[in-house]
Amino acid sequence: MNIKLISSRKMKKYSLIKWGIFLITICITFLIMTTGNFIKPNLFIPLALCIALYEEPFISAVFGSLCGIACGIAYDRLLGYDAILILAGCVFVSLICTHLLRQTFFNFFVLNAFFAAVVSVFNYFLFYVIWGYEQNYSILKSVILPEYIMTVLSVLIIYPIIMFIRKHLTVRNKQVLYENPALIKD
Amino acid sequence: MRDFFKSLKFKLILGLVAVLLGTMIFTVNQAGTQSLSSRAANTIASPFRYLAEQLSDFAESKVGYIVNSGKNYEENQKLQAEVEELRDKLVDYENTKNELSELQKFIGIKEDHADFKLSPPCKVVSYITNDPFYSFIIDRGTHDGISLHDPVVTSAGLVGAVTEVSEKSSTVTTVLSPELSISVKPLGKNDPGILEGSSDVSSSGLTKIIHLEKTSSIKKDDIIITTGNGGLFPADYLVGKVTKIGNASNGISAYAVIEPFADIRKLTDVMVVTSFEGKGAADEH
Repeated sequence: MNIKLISSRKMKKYSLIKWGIFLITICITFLIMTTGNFIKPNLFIPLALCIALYEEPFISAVFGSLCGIACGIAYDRLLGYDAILILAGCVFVSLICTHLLRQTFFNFFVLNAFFAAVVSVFNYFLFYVIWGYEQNYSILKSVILPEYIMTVLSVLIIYPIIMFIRKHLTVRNKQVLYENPALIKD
Repeated sequence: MRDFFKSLKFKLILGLVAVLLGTMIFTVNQAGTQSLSSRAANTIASPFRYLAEQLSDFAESKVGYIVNSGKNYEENQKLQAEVEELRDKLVDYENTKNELSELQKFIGIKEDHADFKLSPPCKVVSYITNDPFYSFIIDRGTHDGISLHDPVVTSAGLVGAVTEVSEKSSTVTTVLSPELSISVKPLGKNDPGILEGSSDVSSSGLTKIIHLEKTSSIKKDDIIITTGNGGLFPADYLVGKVTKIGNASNGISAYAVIEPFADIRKLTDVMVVTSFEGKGAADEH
């Protein structure tokens, strides 16, 4: 039997292509997020967390901060605020999925819902409640909650896309077994 | 997991957080003007914003026919009913006379602004994502003579004010936002009030005049104009029309709901008033 090992150079090449495609995905997401003036889901959250699901913490942190900066520009918020939040979420997801949880769709769905809820609460209090706007609950009803629900449901679209990219561009150090006719005896 | 917290990668992540935190603090200190980091980020993002706007226009023009056909039909029916109602009103001589007199004032206001120095027409590049008060970004900045707090208008009426400015783009906060307080009065009456956005009506594209006395002469269908007090906004510029009068929750004052003449939610082009008579008058005193 022959054992075929995939070189680390080829693995690096595939990883770079994969990260490049993730970057393009972030740009496309930014395009979607800045189109029109209707309520949209915060697509950067599931995108960053989905990338972090299978990546090591450092790569997750880099992609998390990139998604966060893009998010900050789209929402015209304090630059760095969203980046820190999403970076923290990505490192958390990466660590928890490496050490404690299995990388299944259900687990990802729950993690995304939890993290989106944390971000929504932060945003609601920091951008509306502390400024004492009258009848803040109407913002909660008309903006924050619809955005949160759409963010949670957007996983159904983003997860398969990221998994598709990952499936086709992840090379593991797998061993491919071939039959060697010379060793086969009748 | 303990090994991770001791690793170099964890220290690098902490470094990244420190950089982001530094950016945040630096941005906070640049109130009003965009910081270097914001400017760089916005410069990188501007082609994407432009592309997004083009995509949005394309989708709106193509898909809008199909999606909005039912809505357009209903709107058409409603407008036809309104036209019939207006025809009936025309029969009444007194109403026609009043209407004519109001229209004359309306035209008069437009002719009375020879003191305005306007920026070149500004394109609305994009609305801020999920902003309940419909703030937006325009494609002109300090390079075109725009400065912080300049009023933003359309031919229909007042839109808002510039609240963040960089060399080639500006952020506009609209009259739907509670961040803007504008001194206004009804046309032909000397009964000033404060126009301030409110979260309960902003989603419908409406704003409010707050802290009105219960005995105020403001009534439904009154046309609202700016007073020019404070020197931030020009005097006698059209704002909107009163659609409802109500009592405030505190029970001691009233409010009026205003429908701005400029449809804040569907803007494509605006102009910035870079100079007008009485600008900054309050600061001088």
